[in-house]
Amino acid sequence: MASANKSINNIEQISDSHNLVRPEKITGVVAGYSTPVQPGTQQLQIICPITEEPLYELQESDADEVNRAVAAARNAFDTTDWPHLSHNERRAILRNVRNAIEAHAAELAAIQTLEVGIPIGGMLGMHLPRTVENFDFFMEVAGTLSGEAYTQTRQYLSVVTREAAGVCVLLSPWNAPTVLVSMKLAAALVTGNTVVIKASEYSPWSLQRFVEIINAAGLPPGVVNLVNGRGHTTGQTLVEHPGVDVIGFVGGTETGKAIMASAAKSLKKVGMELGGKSANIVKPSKWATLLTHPPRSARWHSPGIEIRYCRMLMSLKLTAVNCWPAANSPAALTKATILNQLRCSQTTTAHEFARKKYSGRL
Amino acid sequence: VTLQKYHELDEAIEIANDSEYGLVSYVWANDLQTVMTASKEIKAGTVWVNTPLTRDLRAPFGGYKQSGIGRDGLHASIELFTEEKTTMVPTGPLTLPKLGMHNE
Repeated sequence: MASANKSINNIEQISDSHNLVRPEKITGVVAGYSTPVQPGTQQLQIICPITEEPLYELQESDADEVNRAVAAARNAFDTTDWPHLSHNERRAILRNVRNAIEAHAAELAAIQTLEVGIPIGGMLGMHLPRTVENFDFFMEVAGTLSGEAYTQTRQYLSVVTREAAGVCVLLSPWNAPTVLVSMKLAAALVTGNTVVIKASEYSPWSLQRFVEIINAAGLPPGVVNLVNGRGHTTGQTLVEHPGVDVIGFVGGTETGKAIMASAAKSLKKVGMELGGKSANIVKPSKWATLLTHPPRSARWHSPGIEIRYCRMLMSLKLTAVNCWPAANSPAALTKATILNQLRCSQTTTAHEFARKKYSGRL
Repeated sequence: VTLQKYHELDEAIEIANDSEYGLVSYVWANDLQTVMTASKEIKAGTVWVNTPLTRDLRAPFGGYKQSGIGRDGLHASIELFTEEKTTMVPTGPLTLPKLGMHNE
């Protein structure tokens, strides 16, 4: 890992310091195989938020690849043993998956820092441990699941059991790919579902490596597949697909509404974590001082999409509040970077809106 | 980050709820009455009291209003990724009712 005071200015330095082999092209993974580079499909140039250099090209999944990914997941669910494995059998596989993620934590952290802009400390200290913990947690949960039995109807016994829902689509946000996808992925896998992940077009490398790593750890082919691309192209084809049973989404509210409308056509189940605008109510207390001088971990945690500390409501009884000190930037890897020009201008617009609406001080 | 001022707690809660979103919220205070009033009145899926972002994976996490639908967590995640099935079986010999007749 780079030392805090080392100035890092280009992708090669960051890649080298983390022994990353940067791909020229990111593609999807269907039934255990990476999709080959296909001329004639849409190629997107992805930019590193830290250095603003081109990072790699992303091959967008066209309708054909989306169909093949859903078919692979459908096949694994409908025709293989996967949904019918005993808890012990499935846990044996998922334990290897979990261990493989832990073994590759440093690599996955560095990749996400490069394409998301979150400092490496946050990646190694929170995102990757939580990714592993999500698997630990749901493996444990699966071992304690039980059904219900009702005997109140004379001459009858009603037994309630749970079965895997089927093919689950998990749409990743750009800002925390492995931690947020794995929360839903682990729950879907321990209960015997099969999955098609769609990575964000801004941070697909993390999930491409993640899917390669967990497949290599022994997941049966087709249990976890990966497609790439933008929401209005790949995403839309995927959520409208009749072969999909469940959609899990973390992202923006407007996109969530569009997904729900698409899902309604075949009554897919949906679970969605959408936008936030979190208020902090601060009364006079020792907390007020701590908050305005938060520890490094609380600051600039997830640049440009900070849903957590975005509104501070301060009691008038508080005396002068010293606002957060200007970020003194020791090194690229410890300073968060806003994802791209679009996010920068969105953030600026939001600040202007807040100024006007509440006369808020920024 | 925006900083805004409030006079009394009810004003702070009003500002906090004046949003189409309701994912998480925080209360930073020493007295129990403030904490419990805010927890009850704030329309958000999580209220962290003197606590920075911390997840208990067992507890539900998700949003009120336009911050989402459904939750992640112990029960909520299992609910999303499974279908429930009720199987009803007779516990002894049964006399089937004749078609069109009421069951006695």
